[in-house]
Amino acid sequence: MIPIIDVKDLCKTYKYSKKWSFNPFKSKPLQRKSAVINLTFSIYPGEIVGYIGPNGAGKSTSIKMLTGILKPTSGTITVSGYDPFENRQQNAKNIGVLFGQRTQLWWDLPLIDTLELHRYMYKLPKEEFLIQLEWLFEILELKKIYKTPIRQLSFGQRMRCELAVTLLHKPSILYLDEPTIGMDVMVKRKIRQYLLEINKQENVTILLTSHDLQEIESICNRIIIINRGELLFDGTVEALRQKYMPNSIITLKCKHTISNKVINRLSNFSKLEDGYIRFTINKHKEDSSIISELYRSYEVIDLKITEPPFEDIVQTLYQEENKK
Amino acid sequence: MMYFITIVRNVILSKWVYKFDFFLGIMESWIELLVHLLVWMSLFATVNGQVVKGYSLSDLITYTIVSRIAGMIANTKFSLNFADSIKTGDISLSLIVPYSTRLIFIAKSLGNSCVNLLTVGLPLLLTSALFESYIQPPISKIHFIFFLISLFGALMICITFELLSGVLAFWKVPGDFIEWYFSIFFVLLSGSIVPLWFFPSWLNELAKLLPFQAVFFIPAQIYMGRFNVDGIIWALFTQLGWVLVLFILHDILWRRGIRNLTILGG
Repeated sequence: MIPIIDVKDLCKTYKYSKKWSFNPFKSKPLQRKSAVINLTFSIYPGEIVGYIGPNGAGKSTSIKMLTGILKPTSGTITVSGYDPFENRQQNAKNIGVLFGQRTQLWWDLPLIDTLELHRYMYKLPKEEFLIQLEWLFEILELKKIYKTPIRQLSFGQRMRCELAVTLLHKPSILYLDEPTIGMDVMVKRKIRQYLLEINKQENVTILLTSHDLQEIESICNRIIIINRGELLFDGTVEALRQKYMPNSIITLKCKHTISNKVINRLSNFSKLEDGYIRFTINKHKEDSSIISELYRSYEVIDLKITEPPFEDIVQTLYQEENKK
Repeated sequence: MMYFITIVRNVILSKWVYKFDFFLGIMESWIELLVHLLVWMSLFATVNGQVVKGYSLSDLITYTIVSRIAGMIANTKFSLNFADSIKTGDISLSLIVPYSTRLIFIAKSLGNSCVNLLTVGLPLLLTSALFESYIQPPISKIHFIFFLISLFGALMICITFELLSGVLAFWKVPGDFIEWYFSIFFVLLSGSIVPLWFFPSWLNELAKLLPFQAVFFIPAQIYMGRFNVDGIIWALFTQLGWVLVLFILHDILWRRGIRNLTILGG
């Protein structure tokens, strides 16, 4: 299959002057800062990719290069066959972009005016426009607010309007930079469902950045993690678990007290209240045999096995990286 | 095309939201125009309505009103907007749509010109009615047609000029500074308040070397029939030349700037 987004050895270096000089005629030494270093990945049609990394990792910079706003310092990007910077307008026809902290809406006008503008922008026929409107209003619950001037809406409502504008022209690639900030749980869930739906029905490729890792975990079938501009990980959530945190957490309660000799064999052992104990086992190693041993010797009353939360994995990953 | 028409419509609608502002704008330009005309009247009253340097009161009132018409259409002033969007990074939003970024800004400024038609045009009509006896009709139909063409030229000069000064924001030149600085030159050297006829000759020569006079002075001169046919064609070519020079300069800077664009803060 041909990748819809193909990124090879992508680099972006910003030049900036370190000190602010009072003398405007004195030339200032330019500093270079690499925001993105040798990024290489391919995304295939129909994938939902979660693009994550700590603050300042280079997420937004790379999205801006993918959408054709910024010119890469070196390396190549091909988005459905085009270089997005050189063929910016051609590329823009097929993509939908949402920047969580910028607005495409007309501040003083109701949503419907912006939508109409976008209708002409993407040359949608009238019937198609009306069908899309009905669908978007239904899914994003905009029926009551689409005639209210944007400045009178709450932040969450505004973000929903923003999403409606982004999705109106049925883009084949969606770049969503923090699409659900400021939304309540119900709307978040609806939007996730909606994204999954358009992904399934129209094979829309979605690239999503978010700090809500639960959201990433629930809709993305692939994750790309970057830190300080470099690729850290590229694969499924499951693969990430296997690689960075293969441990499961066991919480159990036994009838008899456990001897110290056994306790010493448990990793990350801790005592909880009501006689519960907690430890971790590594699924790859023979560790799981210890549970059957406990069962036999100490009569387990209650047992709970949990996978570590996705957020913990990512946190460990960030911390490890920052130590380097 | 519908896209640009919708942009113009949206600009007008957003201005209309602030109706009070709208009416204040009308009042402001009305008072300004009235004061301007009354100053000429009282100045000419001191010389008992004689002709000064070959120009009569009627000439000056006609000049003022005609240059107002040029100003109303051509005074676009979107460089501040343009510069701001580069500074704040909002320009990224105009880079993700399948249209030329600069055309979008121009369309928005044409929307503003349409608003000007109301806020400046309405008081202009009212005042013209008051001073009707002083206003001269255009010399001939041909002059009037050339006048309309030169109005278009004036608009193009303003647009390219604003594009040029806006694009300087790529090099961190603050937009408001440029705007303020050049508006002084504009007021003085374009002849929008005092016609270039009354300038000392060195200032007159200097003004003729700059693009500003092509915005107000040239259309007004054509309307009043101060040029013969050769002069008109020369004047229109001057306008065209300025449009080309300003646009080429702007385009070079734009191409360099957009390649080195940095968008800060996400």
